[in-house]
Amino acid sequence: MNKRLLELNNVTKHFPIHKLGKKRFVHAMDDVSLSIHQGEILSIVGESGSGKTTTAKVIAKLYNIDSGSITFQGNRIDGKLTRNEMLKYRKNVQMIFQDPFGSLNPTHTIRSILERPFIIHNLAPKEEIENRIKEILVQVGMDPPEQFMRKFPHELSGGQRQRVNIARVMSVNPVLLLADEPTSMLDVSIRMIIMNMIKEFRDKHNISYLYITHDLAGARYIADRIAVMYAGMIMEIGKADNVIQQAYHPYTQLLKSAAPQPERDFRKQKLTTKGDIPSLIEPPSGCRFHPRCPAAVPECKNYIPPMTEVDKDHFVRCILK
Amino acid sequence: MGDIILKLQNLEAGYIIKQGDIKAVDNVNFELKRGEFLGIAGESGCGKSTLAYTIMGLLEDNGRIFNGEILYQDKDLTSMTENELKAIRWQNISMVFQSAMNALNPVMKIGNQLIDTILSHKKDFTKRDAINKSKEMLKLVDITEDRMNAFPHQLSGGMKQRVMIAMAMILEPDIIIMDEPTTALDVVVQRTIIDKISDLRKQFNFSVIFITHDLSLLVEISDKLIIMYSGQIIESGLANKVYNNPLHPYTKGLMNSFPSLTGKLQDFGGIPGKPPNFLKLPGGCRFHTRCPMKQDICSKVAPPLQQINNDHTARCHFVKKGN
Repeated sequence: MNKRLLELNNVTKHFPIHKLGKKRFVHAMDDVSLSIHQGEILSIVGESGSGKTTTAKVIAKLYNIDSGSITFQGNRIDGKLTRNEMLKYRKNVQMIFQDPFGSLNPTHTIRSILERPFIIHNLAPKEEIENRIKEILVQVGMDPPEQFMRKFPHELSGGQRQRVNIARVMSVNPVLLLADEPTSMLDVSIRMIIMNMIKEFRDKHNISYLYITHDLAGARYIADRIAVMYAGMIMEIGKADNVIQQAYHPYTQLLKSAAPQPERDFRKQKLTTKGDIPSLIEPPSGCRFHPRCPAAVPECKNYIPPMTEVDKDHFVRCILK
Repeated sequence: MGDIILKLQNLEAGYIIKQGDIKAVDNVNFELKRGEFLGIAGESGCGKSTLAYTIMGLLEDNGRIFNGEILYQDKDLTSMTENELKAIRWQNISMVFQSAMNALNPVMKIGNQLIDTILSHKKDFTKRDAINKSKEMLKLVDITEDRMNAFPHQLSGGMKQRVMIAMAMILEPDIIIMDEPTTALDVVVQRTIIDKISDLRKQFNFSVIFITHDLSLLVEISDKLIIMYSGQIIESGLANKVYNNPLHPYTKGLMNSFPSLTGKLQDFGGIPGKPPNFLKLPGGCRFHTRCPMKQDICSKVAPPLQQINNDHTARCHFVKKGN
């Protein structure tokens, strides 16, 4: 558990937009630092537009970063990699996408979708590939595999498609998986099954995960640590239970009170915030949360608070702490 | 809580397709009281949206009501002509559609869309009245007057959904059907919308039929809960009773499908398998193919919906009175 696998240091990613000759930027990630240890599940929680997916795509090297550094297994990977280095990195780090309907090629059978990683990464001799695919399909609960290999993605349900996605990433024996809301488009009855499968692979194969979600309760269930993101910045990070039970940041508290809780009679409690997520093109000055923050004081407008350690391994970005 | 304003009796509805008839709503009975919040939950494809569209009389061309009655204040909606329905639709029963992004006309200012709604139903309203009423409704859902001139794309997802709620309320209906109104929204926005609905309901005393697959949310906000599976009601009752004492194995599975935020951490299971195909329904109980408690009788005899306790019903052979 103690070995650091991946480390992001002060990573910033801005996307340029060109409009009427004036160059402006979408501040998708600002000063993001986090680390993932071997065999750990780190969950990033936040509303849409908070930079969660950008963080995953930056780690997957689908985007290049503007500044900061990313270290994987002790090597910097944020610069330009050679084709071989890239192939090696991609074998270790794989991504599970949110939309199981859009992430499988509709014109290919499940067999040919699952063959690709073996061919690209040269993982098995040709005659063995079929057996390896069968093994993996059984692992993700698609039994009997022969029946599924002939099918096309449209013949499968959302849950089955997400299983194929997981089979595809598992086939290369990755060390780190980036799961971008893998259950948000699935029915409730199948969500827990996919989440349990993710946990099982961690326990059996010691795979680390970056698990992105907007569901705080789900994050608590699956993750060892939780990072709460807002408008491109990490606001709070720490052990899953600490972040939820002793939420220090007003935004974490807001997320907590907004989450559905059947145990509670909601009629008694009201949210104490208003407004929507701010524009990332012109983010608010100072703390990005201050326009919506119920506890904001005048200084919040003036400077961006640094991450401060409030408990052991529990960091919060708020001047009130 | 007041008198009964909507009553469904043995309602059977669905679609006619090339391969046969699909009964997506199968023998559904329920009563809705004035001011009540009724939650309907189920997986995708369980018939909950078909039920909503059937009540609204908005089924697609191949949709049919095969049998049964929809009684709105003792008038049967299923035997009405389109013109008679038009008088009731939106004035008395309105709807908030699943994706507000698609339900609003993208090339029309939202103010005009609200004004249109009023003018096409209320003949005694002048344009001036309609404008004032629209502004008033927008204010109710916390949108400022100046947004009357905004186009849908200029509003955020949460604001669009609030415009949809304003539009559903603008003729002061008795019943508003909400088909997954918050599914595409973030948790915080979802919470503000739910708070808003509950405030407005207190103020105007309309009934809500709230359809979603998010049971954790539904338990929190509903008075009464109906769980649907494969077109049938398989359990219904007061929301806290169904949550604290689920009777049907499917409901138990659903309740075991969302982790808690504050309670003890335990293992959650979900429900393996998927709902049956409507064209090849299994014999006996429709849930038996996925049921962990399955016995021989389940694949042979279809269980009826039985009253177990006061107002708590379940469709299972092994749930007996007094459970």
